Amino acid sequence: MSLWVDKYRPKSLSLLDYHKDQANQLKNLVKQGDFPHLLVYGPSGAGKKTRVTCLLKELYGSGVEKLRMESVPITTPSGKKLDIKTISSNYHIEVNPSDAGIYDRCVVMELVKNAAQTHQLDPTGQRDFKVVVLTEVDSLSVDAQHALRRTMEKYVSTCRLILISNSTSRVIPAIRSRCLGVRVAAPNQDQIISILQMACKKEGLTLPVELAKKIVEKSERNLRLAFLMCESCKVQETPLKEKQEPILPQWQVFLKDTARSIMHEQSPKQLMEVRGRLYELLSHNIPIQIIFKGLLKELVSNCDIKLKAAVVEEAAFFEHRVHQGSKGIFHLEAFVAKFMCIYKKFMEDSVIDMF
Amino acid sequence: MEDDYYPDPDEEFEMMYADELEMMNELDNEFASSAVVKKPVPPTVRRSLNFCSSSTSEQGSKENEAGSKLTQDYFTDIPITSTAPDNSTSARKRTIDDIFGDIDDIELEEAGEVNGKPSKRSCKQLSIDPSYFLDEDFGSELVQDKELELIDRINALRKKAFLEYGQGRSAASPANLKLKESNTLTRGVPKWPFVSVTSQLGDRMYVRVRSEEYMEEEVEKVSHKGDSCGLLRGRFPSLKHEALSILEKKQQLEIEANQADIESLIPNEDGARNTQVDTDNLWVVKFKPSGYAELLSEESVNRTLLHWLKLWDKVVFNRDRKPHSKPKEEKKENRFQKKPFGQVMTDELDEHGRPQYKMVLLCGPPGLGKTTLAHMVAKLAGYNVVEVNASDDRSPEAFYTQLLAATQMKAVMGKDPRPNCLVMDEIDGAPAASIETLIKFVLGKDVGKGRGKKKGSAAGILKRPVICICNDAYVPALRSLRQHAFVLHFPPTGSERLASRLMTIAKKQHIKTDMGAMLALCEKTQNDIRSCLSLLHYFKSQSRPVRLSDVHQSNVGLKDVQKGLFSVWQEIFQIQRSKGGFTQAANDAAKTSNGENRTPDVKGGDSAIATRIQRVLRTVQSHGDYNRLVQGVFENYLNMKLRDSSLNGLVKGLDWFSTTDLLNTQIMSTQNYILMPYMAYAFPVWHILFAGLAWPKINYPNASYEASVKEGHTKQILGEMVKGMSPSVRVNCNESQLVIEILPLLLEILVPNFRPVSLQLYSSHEKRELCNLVSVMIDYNLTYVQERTPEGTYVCNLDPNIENIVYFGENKPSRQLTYGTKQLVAREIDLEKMRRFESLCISGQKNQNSDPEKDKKETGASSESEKASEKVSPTIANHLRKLKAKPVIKEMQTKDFFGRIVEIPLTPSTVKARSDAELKGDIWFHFKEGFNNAVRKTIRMSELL
Repeated sequence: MSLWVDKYRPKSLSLLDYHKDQANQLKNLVKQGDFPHLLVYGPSGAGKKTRVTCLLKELYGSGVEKLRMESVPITTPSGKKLDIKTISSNYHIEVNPSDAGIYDRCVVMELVKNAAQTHQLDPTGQRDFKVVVLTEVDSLSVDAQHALRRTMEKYVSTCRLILISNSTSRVIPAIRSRCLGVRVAAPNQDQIISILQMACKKEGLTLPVELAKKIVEKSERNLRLAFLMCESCKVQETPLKEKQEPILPQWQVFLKDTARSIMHEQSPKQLMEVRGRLYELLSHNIPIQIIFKGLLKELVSNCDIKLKAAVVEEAAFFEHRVHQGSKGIFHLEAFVAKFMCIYKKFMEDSVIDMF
Repeated sequence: MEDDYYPDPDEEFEMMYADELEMMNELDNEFASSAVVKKPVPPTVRRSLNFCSSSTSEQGSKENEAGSKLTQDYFTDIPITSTAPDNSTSARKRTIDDIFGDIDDIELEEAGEVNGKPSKRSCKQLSIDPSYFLDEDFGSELVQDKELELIDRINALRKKAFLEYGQGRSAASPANLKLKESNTLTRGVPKWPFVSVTSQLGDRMYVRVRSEEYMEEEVEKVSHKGDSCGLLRGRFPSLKHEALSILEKKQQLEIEANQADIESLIPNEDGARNTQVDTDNLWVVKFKPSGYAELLSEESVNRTLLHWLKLWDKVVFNRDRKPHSKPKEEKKENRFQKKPFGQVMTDELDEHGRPQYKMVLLCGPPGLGKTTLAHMVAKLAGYNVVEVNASDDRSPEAFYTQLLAATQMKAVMGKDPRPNCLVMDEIDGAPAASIETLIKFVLGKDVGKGRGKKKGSAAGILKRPVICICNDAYVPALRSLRQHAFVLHFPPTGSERLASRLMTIAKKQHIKTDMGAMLALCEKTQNDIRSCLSLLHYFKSQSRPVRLSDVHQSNVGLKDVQKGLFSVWQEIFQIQRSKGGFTQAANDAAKTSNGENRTPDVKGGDSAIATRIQRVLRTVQSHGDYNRLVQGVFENYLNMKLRDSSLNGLVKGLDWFSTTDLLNTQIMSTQNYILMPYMAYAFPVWHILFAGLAWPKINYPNASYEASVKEGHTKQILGEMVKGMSPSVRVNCNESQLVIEILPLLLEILVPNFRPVSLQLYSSHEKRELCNLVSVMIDYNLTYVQERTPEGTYVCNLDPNIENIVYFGENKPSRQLTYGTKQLVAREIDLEKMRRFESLCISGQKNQNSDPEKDKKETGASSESEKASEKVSPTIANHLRKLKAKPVIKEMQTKDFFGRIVEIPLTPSTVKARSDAELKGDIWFHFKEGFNNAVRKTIRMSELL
């Protein structure tokens, strides 16, 4: 018994509900015996991790399901000691190098070396290589990626890497060329609806199509979110109704309110208030990119068509600066002020045009 | 009454001139002894300085040519007897007095008699053997050029005086003298009282002894009788007055010449001259106050410190057995008891006779003369100052040895061994451990060790005053010290007082300046005497008059770093009302604030803006901590009054914020500090954009800090949660996904509808729900814990409390479980966890047959959960598995040397042992093992559940 998300997660490649061709290809890849480094990418909630887990099971059998969590002590060159949480089985090790912040390079090198230098002793394991799964490669620093590319080649005989990221844009070309890219696209609406309905059927419920559509819309084709929403709907009202509203995460509601307040008034005082809300969002560990995205979406959807391009451009400009700089709030506020300025000017101009 | 705090004038004089007095005494002794031996030079001659010598000169010049030479010899005596320097008249007077005071009546009388007329006699003798004098008497010691020069000069003067004042007078007086001459000194034994004197050659002479009255009479006759008999041309007071006036005139002339000199030098700045002026000492040292009266610090502080030091007299000086210290001390004590001194000094001395406070803590900003005061006062009170400052080793051990050395020891080698007074300078920089040591020592915490010593009854206790000096009394390390010490806050010196002192110094150093400039200087340095002096010294080296403008313009002496963050921010946000360009600046500001376009290139106000930019830039650059400054500007600029409707200024300012952030990141990530200077240029922009004339209300920037603290807290909660999650769930969610997607909805899912009834009454559906809830919560490492609110009620909160992550501001979850349900859930979670653990144990022991009782006892809910746990058990994580000893399956067979099995006959004991081994398969609990006849029973965990 667990959450629906975990409960109805397919356990093997053959059980996957969508992108079946790709699943077959992966299966064949495993069969072939020559397994390259993989770079699995796709939007959040599309099933990248599920696919990788299935793939691992295909490779090593059910042994990979015996997972353990360990914390690996790592000493940086500067003498700082870090503990990195890893999830591993006898055959693979999974780690999120961005946990180590700026020391991710050491983590990557250390772990890959460790994994690669110990050969498989278990004769029942069919493969003579281990797999290192690196998640959130997007946030891997360029240094670490450079460190990775040499390691990848050096230990290729005993170790394979599976990199998981949301997009390839922040993976350096050198890594991209060393990996087989596997794109996992988000499932489309029909797929999600059918999956949800199947799950509900198993739970002894019927999911109205209308509600399912709403869920798809709200979750932005994020299957995980869709599942969670569906279950929360069920908790709200047990026989699922058509007119039920799926619950949005609190931060999204908060962000929408923030955007509305920006639209409502443009003044330094308002900017101060917005800043407080932005701080609040940041302190809740909402990634700044998500905040940018959410804000932009709300703002653009509400403003005049003429402004949209300019606003998006500004957002892109400041979002880029966020990545270059270190104090996100400066750039966020700069964007908000810029938007206020543009919007106010537009409004004033339109008022003047009226007369 | 109060003057008694100070050394009385005599005492002070004694202290100051102690050396001189001593020397004089020594000289007297020497002189007396030599007088006996050296017959030809009668002591009286020496003592009657002016009179006889002048008379001799008269005679010498008149009677024989050789005389002049002889008189010269005589005059050489003068410097010996008058040990005091020539120019200090008072000192000389005193010397003479002293000498006279020391001499017996007889000698005096003799002197008086001889006063008039020994000269001829001696002259005779001298003429007989002049070389004798030269060789024996002073030949070795006094043939020094300087002295001779002096002698020559005096000689010449005397001659001149003689020539000027009539022959008759001079002729009369020698005649007068001659008359009595024979009466005074005889070769034969006289009838009157006498003293016999024998020269080295064997000549014996008898000197008449006369009474004091006679001498006075004679003196009267010679000096005061009228114009006719005086050797001087007038009466002494008038002469003195004249001499003084001459001296004064001379000084005046000198000063004028100097002034002229300086003025002539002003146009051509002559560097070479300055170097010769003074290179030896810093002015701070040079113009150190030399007496109590010269101290610049607040009088009350000085007094209090001195008072406190005087309180120590009993302990310190009693042991020294200074004759006058004791009665004085007692007198003082009485007085102090009568008059309580503030809140501090009421309770006087403790059982050891020490003041209540063993230490004094002087605190105040640098350069007010704290150290000087401590030294001065300690010296005045008769102590030898031992200073420990920041440049010494101040580790606790070294500190302790120093303390011991300073307070328990005493100098024995020096000229005047005085008790020590410990001055701890710059104590705010000392390590806390050392200060602890000091306090312990002062309080006599380790007395026990010292008491044991036979030397002195209380060797371990502090018997010397300790003065601590610090700049900041509120340093954490000094907290305990403040409680045990008498804290004296040092108020800043009055500007007027300091300025007038500076003026006198300037006068002494011939710096042309005026009071206004000095006042400005004081203001600039915030009455820091030290920096005032060094600044003045600097001005002196430029050798031109110091004017107000110089003081204002000079960049030296500006204490840049001292400017606090707030004042820098204020300068950024406020347009300074500079005296000259105020109106312009104001106009300018008005323009910028009113005008639509807030760009800095406003016409007309260019120069004002330029100065403003310069000023802000300089301030910011001198502060240097750009990051914090930026943060402060960022968090305050929106509170300024921005009359900018188009928000262009905001956009521009924010653009600069993000630019500085980029710069900073670049600097930090690449350690490329070459970019650092560019950080400062954002501040003038913000100044131009946001500054106003009004006084800005600036808050310390802590929003960012608070946010980061909160963020850290959130991360901590997440980490806690993730750590205990079951790995199968953990694989599929990383932290950011948890925050964004899973947790917000998880909280909605974790609130199923339960009727508020007891567990037994739940329907099967509800039981299933509960079971599901429990397993989800375990998977995500959540549980409910009871917490007590400040109001005293109990609430059940999630642990780790992810509600903090999910909900914003005042938003609260719409639906929540009731308190009772939460408790129920928490209990079920605990039970479930135990069950899982047990099932693991059971699954680990496969040879163990399952307990038939277990299923029977369990409630419906728990059987449900049992099923769940069975489902989970195959995928139980490795870390939950427990290492089990391998059960002994079969007995080891004993074999003989050739490998044949040896049959051991079964004895009852071996049978028993085997059955014991079988029993050991399970966990056994021995409850209260011991000598007890109560029934011992094994109880399983499952029975307890």
